[in-house]
Amino acid sequence: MRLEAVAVGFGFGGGTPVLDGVDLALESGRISGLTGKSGRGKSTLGKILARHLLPTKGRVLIDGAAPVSSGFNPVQLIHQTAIFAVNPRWKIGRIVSEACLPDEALMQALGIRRQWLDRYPHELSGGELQRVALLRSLTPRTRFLIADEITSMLDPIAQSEIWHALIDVSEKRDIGILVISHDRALLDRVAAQTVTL
Amino acid sequence: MSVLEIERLTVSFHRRDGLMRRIAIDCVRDISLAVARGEVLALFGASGAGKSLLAHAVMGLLPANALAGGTMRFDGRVLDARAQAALRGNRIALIPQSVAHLDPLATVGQQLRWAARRARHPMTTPGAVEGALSRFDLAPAVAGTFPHTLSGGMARRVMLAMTTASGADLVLADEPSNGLDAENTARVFRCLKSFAEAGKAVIVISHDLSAALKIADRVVLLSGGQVAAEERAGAFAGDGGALSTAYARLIWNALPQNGFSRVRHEA
Repeated sequence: MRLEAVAVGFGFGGGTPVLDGVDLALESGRISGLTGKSGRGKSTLGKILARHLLPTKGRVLIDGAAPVSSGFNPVQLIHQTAIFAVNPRWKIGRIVSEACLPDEALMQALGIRRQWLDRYPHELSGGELQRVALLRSLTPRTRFLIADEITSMLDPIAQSEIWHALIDVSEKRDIGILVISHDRALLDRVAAQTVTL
Repeated sequence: MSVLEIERLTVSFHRRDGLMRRIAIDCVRDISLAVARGEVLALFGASGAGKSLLAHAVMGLLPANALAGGTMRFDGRVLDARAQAALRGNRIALIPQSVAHLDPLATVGQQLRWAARRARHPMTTPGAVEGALSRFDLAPAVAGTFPHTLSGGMARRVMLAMTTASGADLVLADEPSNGLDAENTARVFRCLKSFAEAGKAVIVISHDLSAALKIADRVVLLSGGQVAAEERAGAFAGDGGALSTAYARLIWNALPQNGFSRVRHEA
């Protein structure tokens, strides 16, 4: 499967566009990197690929066709801070089963403990909650993951553990991952190739 | 001699459990550390390790439902609530994380003058404000602007200029590299290093170990509200063989530029 941004542009009002004529292609089963200075539009491009934002110019295509706009989104977006991506009034167990029942093996690979399921989001640490957000996003129908600085707030041990798990998942389930990061060393470790915006 | 000594600091929060019961949750437990003049101490830990709580405990800025235990000394004298109120802003300075800590309704120049006045070194000569800004690569025109027009890197440098104006002996910088690109990070860190070279004691709080190591003399690693290891900054090199604790070696070797090693972490 192929996820493409074709000549994508995005701007607010009449100002200078954040993105102008950007092309990017992701293949399922491959991990690609996206880097660039602050303010270059990395996160905006990630949101456009996951269709959380509509581009003001250009198109996003899945296998050459416009993606369907309803139902499960095969392109899942993961943010830097997981606490803003979960419902604070839902327990973790309900959060991770929103799309489908979570996979036992995946729970283990991501280091998620059973006792977390009965807690509320604010009772977990940032690193624990990020694992929860990843588990929720990795359903059998997920084809692409847009990972926007997902481990930059975490300690190096948690970072290494999460990325090793994601590298395995990408290979086993044929999921394409876009790693958005400032950390060159991390991109060199996990991505097959890296684009600079 | 140590400017700041912390002995067995504990910070706990009171929370209601149901209607009748109150429970205390320890978020910082038994932390002891000291920092001397001319020294940069890095306080490293993941989110939730208790780094910022420790900084706020030193400043006396903990929330109302928090309770601090243990002893702190500043220049050999006990640092209690009254001492904190007297020393805050003139001999002890905190550089907070974000631009949101600047007053949105006052210009940069006004805030710089207030900082100087609080420390009883008012900026009265013409051009003093502009001079203070230029030391941090900020144009004279910045003095007339409001905080919302500043980028993250500029705001951080304005706060550094305010710290310099206060003439503090102890500087705490909370996540000084957060959200900055490499160029601005290097700039901010150079400023912090220059504070230590000028004889101040500096504590850098950071979750980015490789960034903090560039200027630190010593590193205290926090985990789950406790001191997990204390190391010389120079020991973080090669395969980490010079590090004295297993925890520090684990952290060092998990960095992508080192082993990126796969370890099971007991969360």
